Amino acid sequence: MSGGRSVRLMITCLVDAFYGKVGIATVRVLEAAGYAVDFPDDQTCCGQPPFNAGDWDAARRIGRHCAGVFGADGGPVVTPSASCAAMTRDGYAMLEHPEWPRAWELAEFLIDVAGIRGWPPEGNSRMPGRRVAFHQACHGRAIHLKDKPARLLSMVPGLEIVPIADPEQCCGFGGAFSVTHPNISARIGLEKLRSVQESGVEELVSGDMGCLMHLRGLIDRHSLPLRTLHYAQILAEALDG
Amino acid sequence: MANPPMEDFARRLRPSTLEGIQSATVGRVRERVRLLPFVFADVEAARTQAASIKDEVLADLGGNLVRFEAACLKHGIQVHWALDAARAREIVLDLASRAEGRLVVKAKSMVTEEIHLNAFLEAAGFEVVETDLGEYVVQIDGDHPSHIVAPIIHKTRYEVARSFAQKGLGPYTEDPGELTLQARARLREKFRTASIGISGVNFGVVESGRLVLVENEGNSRLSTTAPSIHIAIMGIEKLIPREADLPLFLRLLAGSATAQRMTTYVHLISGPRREDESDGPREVHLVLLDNGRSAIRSGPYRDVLRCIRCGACLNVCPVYRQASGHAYRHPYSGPIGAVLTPLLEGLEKMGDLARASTLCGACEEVCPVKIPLPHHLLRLRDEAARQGLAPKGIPWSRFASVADEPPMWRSGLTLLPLASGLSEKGWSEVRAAPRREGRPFRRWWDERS
Amino acid sequence: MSDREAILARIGSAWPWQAASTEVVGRPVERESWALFTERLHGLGGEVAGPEALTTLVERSVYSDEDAAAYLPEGVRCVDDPWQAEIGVTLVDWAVAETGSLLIATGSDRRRLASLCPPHHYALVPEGRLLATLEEALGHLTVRTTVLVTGPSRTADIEGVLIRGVHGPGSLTAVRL
Repeated sequence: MSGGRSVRLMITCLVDAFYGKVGIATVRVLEAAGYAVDFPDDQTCCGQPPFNAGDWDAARRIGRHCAGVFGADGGPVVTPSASCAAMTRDGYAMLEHPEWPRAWELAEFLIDVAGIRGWPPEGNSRMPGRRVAFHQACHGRAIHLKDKPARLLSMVPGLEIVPIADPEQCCGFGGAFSVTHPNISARIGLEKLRSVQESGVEELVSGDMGCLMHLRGLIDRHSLPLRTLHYAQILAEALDG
Repeated sequence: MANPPMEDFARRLRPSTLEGIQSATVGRVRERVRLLPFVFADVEAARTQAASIKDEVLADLGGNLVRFEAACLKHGIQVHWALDAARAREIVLDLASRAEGRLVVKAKSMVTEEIHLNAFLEAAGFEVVETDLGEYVVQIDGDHPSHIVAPIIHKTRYEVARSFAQKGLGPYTEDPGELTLQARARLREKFRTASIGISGVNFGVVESGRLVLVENEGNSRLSTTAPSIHIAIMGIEKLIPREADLPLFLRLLAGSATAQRMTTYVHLISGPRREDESDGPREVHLVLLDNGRSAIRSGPYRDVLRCIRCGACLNVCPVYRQASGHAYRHPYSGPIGAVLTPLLEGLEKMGDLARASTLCGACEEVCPVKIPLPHHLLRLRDEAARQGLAPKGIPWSRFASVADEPPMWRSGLTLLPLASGLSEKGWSEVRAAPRREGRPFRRWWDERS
Repeated sequence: MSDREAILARIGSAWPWQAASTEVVGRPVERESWALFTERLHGLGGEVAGPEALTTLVERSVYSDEDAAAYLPEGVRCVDDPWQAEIGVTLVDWAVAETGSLLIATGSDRRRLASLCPPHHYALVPEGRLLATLEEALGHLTVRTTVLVTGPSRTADIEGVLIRGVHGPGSLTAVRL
């Protein structure tokens, strides 16, 4: 690790609660990129779930806590979630707290700040024959993330991102929407899974655990032969050579 | 807990309806994406410019309306102002009653749907005939349009075929070309004999007082040319400042709505027929309708008034595709409807629409006038909650209490409120519950350091 | 209070507005090219022809603009009822290469229904009347009611299937004079 560069990890509530693997992979990836990772222990949630559900009082309360945890002093805040990053930038502004700390989405940070142009940064690991489909999380739109996560992933030598039909389409999760409108949500998700299956891959990769939690739930319910992964997990695998 | 209306509606849709909507909307999205870069050197700049021009109109809406009125009067368009739907209907009835006949031909118009004009005129003894092919189909079926641009996107050719045969338009056929000819034959008689034509307006040009109507079929031109009286109804927001702004807006509308470089007919109306002319309406009336728009303008949702009714946001919306336009219970459907309808009809009645969205943002991305629809949907949700209109569901204040107390959060209480949401009927009805994958992150982190 | 006063009162005063700093143009079109016009109109299902095409109108029923009648050959059956005519003939003020469009103004020698009621429309484009862009064409608008025609009448209302000739003409021929 070099030069005293450090970041603060915002783990996201879903990773905290369910997907420890993704958090571990994120730490390994950031360290491999040359950053010391700090994990502020008092962090909880960014406030997005109640914000999207329309309970802005609850969202402000959580946002204020989050702002306290990730105060202005310290390194950049990085999160493996486009939607949490969007919350801290777009959402906090709508809550009239643009001064609260803003988080970088992981791929955005690695490409725009860390200047990563190849993965892994050291060694010559390859993943020959590894074919995955990539679902671009919609909340990336709010922070102009575009295809950065996919670009990062495609830096891994040998790994192929197989195109799927209508890649910009939503997966149907939508936070509280997935609970209040389950049928519509599931039908949208199944369309997405159909495109993925039609592309002939067995692995579906995304950059947002909200999308993947919903899609995983559908995959399990319908017993589809698909694995789901956060792209940080693949980047971490690539480190192992 | 009862399902929200849209969820219930979507559950009842037939697979054939869904397939039709899916393929039509996906097709339009792809064509639009292909075409626009050929139309504009910089699509993004075009959208920014269009948004800015609409904002210019809205900034001095009063002044622009007064100038527009003066320009209209100058070339003989008679201008009427209507504060609400009831007043607009009265004005139209009054004008129509002066005509000799009782037959009204109508061009497709969202604003006349908004004010429920047809039923009102019919109750007053008029025969009102929708002349856009799709609108005609929904009219003879006693149905409603389900898309701003493609009114019968929810119908198959077989449904149209049965309906035409039942109504005696001609021998049974499932061929769209033959069906179109049957409607053409029936409607030509109406155009020929109607004494009143009613239309909407796509753009009113402030500096010239020109009414611009855009269409592909020719029914709008016929409705506004053949009868002796033309009554145009226009929302007060549909102005553009200058003639020079027309190419930008015409290209954006045609490209966004139907992936065309230009719509087949752009009718630029400046007044009734002149003394030296042999045809065209003898009177042209313009009804300027407020119906809640001035109130929207003064609030945080004002930029929905930029909307040019292209329907692009419907085509890309994943929820619209699975629920159909009728699920929005109002003429304006899709993302724009989910914002506009609660504003026009009230949050109490229509606030659920704002919650029927994944907030994916595809709508904002395609909007030719850059309306930040997801922001508006979020704001409407907050406003509804503040008015006590949010449904009881996941207990967010409890979630916030836990999220505000790190020790409680760490002890795993975090999962309780979240899990209660995820174990709800809504989640588990269609999906497996989330499973913990791997070691909890915090345990790994603590052991490591 | 009249509805007019009420609406203007509700709108209230203006607020400041700042123009976006972008300048927008369509895709640049090199010049007024008949090749481009023809390509565009063909793409829409229309035709471009020379004056000889008018000889095919002989013995057919034609509803025509008065100022277009001079171009019609002997033997054309001119009728006064647009609803009964097979062919509508109009003069065109400007043609637009970029979109394959025709700009047609109303006037004392013109008949609005000629380009609208008959199933076939022959639009006569005099020499020197082709422009490159929509901007140029709409820059020529007069105080007269005008129509910009881009291809034959069409619909895709039934299952998205493209059908020509719904209410307006199903065929459109631009005749270069």
